[in-house]
Amino acid sequence: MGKLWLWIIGVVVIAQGSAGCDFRRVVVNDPISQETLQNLNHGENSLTDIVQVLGAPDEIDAKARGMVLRYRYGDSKTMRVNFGWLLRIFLPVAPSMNLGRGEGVTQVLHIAMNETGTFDHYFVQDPPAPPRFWFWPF
Amino acid sequence: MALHHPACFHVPFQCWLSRWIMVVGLIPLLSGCAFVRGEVGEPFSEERIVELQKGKSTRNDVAQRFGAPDEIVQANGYEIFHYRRYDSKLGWLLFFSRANVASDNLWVFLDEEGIVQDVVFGNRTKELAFQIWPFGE
Repeated sequence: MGKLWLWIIGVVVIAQGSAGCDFRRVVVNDPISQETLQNLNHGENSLTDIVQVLGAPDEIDAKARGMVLRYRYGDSKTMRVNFGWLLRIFLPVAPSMNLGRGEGVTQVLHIAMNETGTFDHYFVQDPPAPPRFWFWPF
Repeated sequence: MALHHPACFHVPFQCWLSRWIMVVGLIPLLSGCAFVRGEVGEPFSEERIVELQKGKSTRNDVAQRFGAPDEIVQANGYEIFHYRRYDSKLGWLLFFSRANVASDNLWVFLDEEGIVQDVVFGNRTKELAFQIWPFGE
């Protein structure tokens, strides 16, 4: 039997054997790159300049003098393992015995504009560590 | 059963078996996949956005083109109309899935007299992709 068929059989066996677990991920918007913020200068850049670099904000809020633009990014991962699946080998029914865990991170960029409509300052946290896939909930 | 293919002529049973293994292997792969899309709101017409003229268009012009805003924000002396649209694309194959979500945002800045002073539009959903593989970027 050729290598191709061994490979196909291997994939099928792994696929069937892994049917008791799943990996899910949800990503909201693109990650915020701090490099794009390096060229913003206090009192110089307008709203148009900022939008050209970062796109339209997700939120705009009022502040004491001026306004605040917010950009949001989110990433979440969940993993689940159904140990009951293994009992299919011995039992006619497969009871559900799931262990699962989800992790999520968010990143918010806050850009303050002053009352003249120019860039004032920004706040952003360091890029968060990416969430992990792991099933152990304890 | 097509056992007369030249490659199968000498080893018909092996060829038959390998085909069945492939079919049996592909059926669960095909039955366990899905592509799902969810949209909230109508896509923005970029032609209509371009029609809005700074210093000329009025609050009514904005409402005629885009309807009532999802949100009105008062900031820095402006009344800001906010229109949103969401799009999500989910790819799922057996035990792997990934959902990508993005939003389009249209912000229209109006002065005290209701005249358009600025228009900000961002289209993130244009580049939203269906993806299955949850690992990596």
